[in-house]
Amino acid sequence: MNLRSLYRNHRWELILVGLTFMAGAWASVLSPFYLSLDQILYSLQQALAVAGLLSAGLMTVVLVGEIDISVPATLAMGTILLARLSEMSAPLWIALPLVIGLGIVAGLINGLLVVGFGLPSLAVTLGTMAAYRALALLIGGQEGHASFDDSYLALGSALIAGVLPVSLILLLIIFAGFVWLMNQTVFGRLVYMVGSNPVAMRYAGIRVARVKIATFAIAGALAGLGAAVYVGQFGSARADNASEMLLFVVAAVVLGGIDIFGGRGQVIGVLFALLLLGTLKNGMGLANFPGPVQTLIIGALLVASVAVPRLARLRFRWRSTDRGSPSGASTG
Amino acid sequence: MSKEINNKVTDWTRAHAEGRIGRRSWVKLMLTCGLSLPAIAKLLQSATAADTKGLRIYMVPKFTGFIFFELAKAGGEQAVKELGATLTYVGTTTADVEGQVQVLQNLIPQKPDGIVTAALDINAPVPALKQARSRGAVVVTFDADVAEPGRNLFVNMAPFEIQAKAMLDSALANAPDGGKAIWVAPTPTVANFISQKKALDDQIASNPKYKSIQFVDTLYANDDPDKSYSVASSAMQAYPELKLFLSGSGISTPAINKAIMDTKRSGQVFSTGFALPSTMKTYLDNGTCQQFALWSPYKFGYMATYLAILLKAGTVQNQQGTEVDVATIGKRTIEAHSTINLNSMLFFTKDHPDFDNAVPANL
Repeated sequence: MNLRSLYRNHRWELILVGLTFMAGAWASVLSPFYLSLDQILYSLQQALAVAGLLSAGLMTVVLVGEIDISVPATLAMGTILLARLSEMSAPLWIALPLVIGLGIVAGLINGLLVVGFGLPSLAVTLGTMAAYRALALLIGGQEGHASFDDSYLALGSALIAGVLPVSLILLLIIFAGFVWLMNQTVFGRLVYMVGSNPVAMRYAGIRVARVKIATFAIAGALAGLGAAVYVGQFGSARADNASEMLLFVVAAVVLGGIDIFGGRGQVIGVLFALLLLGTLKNGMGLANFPGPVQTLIIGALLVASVAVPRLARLRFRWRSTDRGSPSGASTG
Repeated sequence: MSKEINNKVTDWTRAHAEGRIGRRSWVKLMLTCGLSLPAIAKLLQSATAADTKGLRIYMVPKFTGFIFFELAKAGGEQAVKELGATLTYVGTTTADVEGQVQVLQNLIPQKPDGIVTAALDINAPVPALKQARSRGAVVVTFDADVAEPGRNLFVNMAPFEIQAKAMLDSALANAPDGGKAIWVAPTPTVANFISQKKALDDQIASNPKYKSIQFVDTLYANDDPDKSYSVASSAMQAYPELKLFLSGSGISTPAINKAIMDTKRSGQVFSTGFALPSTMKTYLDNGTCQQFALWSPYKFGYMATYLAILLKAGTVQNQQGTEVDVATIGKRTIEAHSTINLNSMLFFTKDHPDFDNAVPANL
């Protein structure tokens, strides 16, 4: 692949990388404490390790043209389950598959409701979001749980060589897996095709329902895995865990260039968007920006990420019609 | 003074400031160095002043933009002004546990001298706070504590006994003859409210002043204004003899006042307890409520910041039984589990409806 085609096929992703470096440079101007490897890695871990896993799951669902806003609630059920399992001194090799399994079940329920009854996924997952939180509350109670066996904490808190968080490595491995899954496998191709035109796919004999349900299950599984990282990172399990994480997760997916209507966008873009958001948060945090300013900047970035490609496309179309060519709808 | 003695004086003074040697042994050492008592006193004063100068304190509220924490911030700013330190106020816009932890985490590389915080979760901030402490920060929590390994000191609003007295005094200010009362809590499991109710029951049982008040029911309103309004409306129909609602929830108290006003029961039933003055002005003005109570968030922030600075400077020893003279607040004693009580309740009435003119309670 030469540079020209790299630019043509990954323009948005390259912009994100450029913005991330600019954000890093800005952060190092804002704060003398930014440029230090352990600081950057630790802060990225805090910002991304959990939200990144949820973003990967949401990305898969959005690619088939659906949405799942229940993933943070699924995570909360997971942390409560882990707390209960730790209290029962269940070993981690039993607890981890169980919590991922719980996530898969939660995802399957979402998928079956959406596909089986043909319901809009926003409404379904809004409902299950409330239901999963209520379930977490019923099992876990109002009080937080904090006594975890040390083995449970490793995934979210261990550092390799004292600086490199295991959870960030895990996130990179997961994203590498998704790049492979989405680009090299039949399943990945089906996800994109179902997302871009489910009706045509159904006529073509593809089992659209199965593909969609599978994406919800994947999102659930990652929320379960996210729960295991969460308890390590925060040493805490409570029914309201990750209740404010949705904005960040959706922002990462949309900013990453995933078309909210499905069928388009690159996995790697979401990873870069996460890095950009994490770097911005880190820089603004170190410079002690007031909370409202930070929220405003992240929100503005989210709106810009939706608006800029749309404006670029409009401009392209305009220019095409100027030249008398009516077929300027696709920018590739 | 020879250079050698001068060095010794400096070293020992630093050791004293850092808490490695006590006040008494330090004074003895100074005397052996040949310093006069007035000279020692002067040295102590300048050492104290110098040690607090330039300390960087960070205040992290539960979330920003809420009047309670804005007042705590103002108190913190007053404390740093008096002691020559600086205060940076940072937080998230919503009650976001993970966000608060990230805010705290971002403080660590800045090597703060002190962190003053009201935690959203008792456990989640602990790893970050531990790290900050290992790099030399003193952590003081106020309003909402974290698990002990995460902090040096917790400033509590008041012992539950004092809180109960403040509520019961306010109840009698509304209904001098007492009567049937209902306790309104968020849910059955919030620890604060369980302890408050127990303290109320203890006071009513043991203190003849309050024996006219009789609890007939407990209702749960989930810290939600609509829920508070509706449970109170139903309760007033179910208990026609009802005289009082008491609640420690700053959200329930004004909502119940509204229910009383809307159902034209002002003067027959009263709702009091704890509330933010900004939410109660209407009801004080039109007589639906005569008096309610709250601790001073300004003094809360002041005291927590003040103590963070003095602990970092080493002029206060963090030990059970240590008495600290907090300027403008008074003498307070560090209790078990490194807890200290602000103990500064305020009463709000029609003529004293705001934090800056509320009546300090003498309980």
